[in-house]
Amino acid sequence: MSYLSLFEADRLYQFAETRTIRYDRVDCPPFRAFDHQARRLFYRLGEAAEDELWHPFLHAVGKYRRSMLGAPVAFNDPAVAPLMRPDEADQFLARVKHAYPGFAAEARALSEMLFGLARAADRPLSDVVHTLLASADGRSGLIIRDSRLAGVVKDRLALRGHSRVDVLAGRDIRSNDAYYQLLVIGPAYWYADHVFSSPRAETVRIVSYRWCRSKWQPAEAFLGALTRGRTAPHDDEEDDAEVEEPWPEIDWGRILQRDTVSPEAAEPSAADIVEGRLFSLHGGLAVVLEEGESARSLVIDLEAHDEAQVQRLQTRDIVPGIFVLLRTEGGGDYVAAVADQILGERAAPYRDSQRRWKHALRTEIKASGWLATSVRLLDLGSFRADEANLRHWASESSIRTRDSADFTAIMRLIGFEDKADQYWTEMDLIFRAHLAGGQLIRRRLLERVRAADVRQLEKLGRIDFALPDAEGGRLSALRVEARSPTTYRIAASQVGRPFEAEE
Amino acid sequence: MQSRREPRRSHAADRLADQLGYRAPSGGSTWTSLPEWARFFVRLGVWVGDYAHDRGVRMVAAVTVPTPAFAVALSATGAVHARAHVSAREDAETHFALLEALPPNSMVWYRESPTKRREAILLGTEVKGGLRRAVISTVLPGGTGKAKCWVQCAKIEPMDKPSEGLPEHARLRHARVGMLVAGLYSESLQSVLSGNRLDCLIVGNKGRLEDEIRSAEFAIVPEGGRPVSGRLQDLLLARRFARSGDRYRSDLIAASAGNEFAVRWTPPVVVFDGANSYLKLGHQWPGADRIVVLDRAEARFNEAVQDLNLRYVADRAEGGRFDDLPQVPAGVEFMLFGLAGP
Repeated sequence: MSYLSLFEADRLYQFAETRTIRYDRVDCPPFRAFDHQARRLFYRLGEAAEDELWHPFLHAVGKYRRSMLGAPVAFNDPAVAPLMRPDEADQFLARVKHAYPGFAAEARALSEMLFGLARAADRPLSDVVHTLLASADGRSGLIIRDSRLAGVVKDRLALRGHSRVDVLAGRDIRSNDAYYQLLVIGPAYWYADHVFSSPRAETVRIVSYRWCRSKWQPAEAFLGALTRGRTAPHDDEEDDAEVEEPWPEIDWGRILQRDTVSPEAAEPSAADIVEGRLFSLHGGLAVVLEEGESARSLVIDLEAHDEAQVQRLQTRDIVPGIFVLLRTEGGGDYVAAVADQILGERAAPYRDSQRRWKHALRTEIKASGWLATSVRLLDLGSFRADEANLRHWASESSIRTRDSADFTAIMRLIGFEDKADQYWTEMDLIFRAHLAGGQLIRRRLLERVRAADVRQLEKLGRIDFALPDAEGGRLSALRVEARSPTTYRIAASQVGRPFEAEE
Repeated sequence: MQSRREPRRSHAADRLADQLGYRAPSGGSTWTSLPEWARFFVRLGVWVGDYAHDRGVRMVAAVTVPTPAFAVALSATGAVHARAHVSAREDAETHFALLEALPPNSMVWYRESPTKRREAILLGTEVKGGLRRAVISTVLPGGTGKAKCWVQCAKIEPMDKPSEGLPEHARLRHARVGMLVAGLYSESLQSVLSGNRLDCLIVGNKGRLEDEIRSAEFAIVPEGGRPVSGRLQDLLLARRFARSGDRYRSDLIAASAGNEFAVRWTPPVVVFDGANSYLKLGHQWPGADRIVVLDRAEARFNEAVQDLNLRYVADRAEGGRFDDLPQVPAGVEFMLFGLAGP
């Protein structure tokens, strides 16, 4: 892994010393009118906006608005097309006319503005960006807030002759690359303070629409700063814009609704429900990870030390900035896939056994309930049967009990006592194969992380790996952007599967 | 509170920041003076390391930086250099007891001179005519096979990474002292080479720090003298990167090392590399002076700043005027306070 030389570090200090912040304010009357109309309607609706009737329309307007405020692409770019079609909007407006007649005219006006813009080829932000990039005397970087659009923006810039621009995305940009200039799209308060206080370029240009307040306010970290370094000159232009457009808080409940199992699948039984926490990931993805003492995920933490950079972390310790390892191609658990490779021919019959006793246990739990089942297990010789342990034993993430006495009690409960020894041996072998598989994956990841230029890893929101010794299938380490403040009860089958957080 | 400072016995530490040079890409084979921010960190380490003599108030020096690169390594180097003149020698009785307690035939280092050591086997100890001596078996230059020798106990040190028995040619190891010789007065040099001590503990990212301490090239460029090149390790003497028997004056642990080191080590100065290190172990070593280096881009930067601000409000000693502070460079925010209480 290559680190900064003293010379390279000196450049970054020079940037911090001489930083210049410039504001490039863009105007576009039709978009301004649309933005104004949207804000007016949101404000006037107030609590009525909570009505499910309004949600699809407001969501479509809000998302389009945010995309156009923060991405240098054309109004009619397919990547940011409104989530609602014109005919769907007409149906919505017909319902609003009945349910909210006082808002019908405003909603119609807004709808017409929305689809009018969505047909327009204008690209005012992109034009300004293009001018700035074309006149740059060195390498440029560009930062956008919405990581979903990073690839799209990069493509569109390349079409305008700027294929070498680095496009970084997200709130917390971590990069040690030095640029001639950094273009930040959208208001400064959309981004972490260090983007401006410790810039990676001598000049930072904030490109935003004129009517949105966008000025960066330097702030001191320490209460008792004894002495501080000289503040660098920067643009003292007054910010007289009228609008402050905060980046919206994540609607975790809505995101979770996006992750639905197939409509044909059976409703999960109580035994298949686990406690999970939702994470939003780079690139507009999300994932639910099981919460609990025994639930761990393989992560890459570039701020950790040495071998701890690749480790298994409890869900509660996974915070923004950490990369979570998920299977993004091929189904199922990636460790299980490697474990099956290790087991070879034994994998199929052993997994059959595993499915059989798990199913029987869940059936028993469904019939009798958690408490009654755990009491019966205690009667049958279990040492540790309680509701929490029983949930763990019944879950997909668990292979066997820690103590064979608990396992034997389960076998007695489900009528498999004659197979207890055989199944215990098989489950133990699966367990060891999982351990070996997990260690193998971890070793490969460590090698990859050590061999990488840490500066590239810090910039990327996603790192892809091929599964070791397996055909097909891909593992991806995706940077966590946010985590839900609460947990949710979800089907075990939803755990660990990345999904699109938004349409 | 006025800082009470003993007269410095060595001003070598003051010169270190100005004498250290590095190779800039455009400089060819010449040495370039450290940039202002790098000199600040050396001077900060010197200031805190020197202040550590004054045991009345423990200091917390916190800085926010645009990049953590070299900040910790240079601070620690300054802190170690500031205490170079303090002798590390244990008293003779303690050392003799240490040797007596070693198992029979333990591998040891025989220090032929401050800069040369040779592998040996400790056969025993004895007191004759009031003199404490160690009896060793080693292979002397020009000798045929192993020889039994009686030597001063002070010249014998346990080997912390012993090899299997005495090799046929007991290796003579030379310590890298070029930069130390160039950077220190002779009294301090003798002190550094006379024994081991933990003057500074670094809690941080071994990967990056090892690169900075062991790989990056530096030189002491004395005024009017020839540059003496080496690595920061030659000055920092970090045990983690030292060969068996090398002198050490500092060490490096990962934050994940846990609290076991809180009991084992009692360093006068601890340098925390980043928010994670500080949040995990920042409240250990209550008797130590602390330097905390925070990278503004770290995920837990705000959390660490909050903790430091809380300590500033709740725990700082009243009053406090600090003399001779190094000039803070642009791009760095700096907070310094003394902690009240024991």
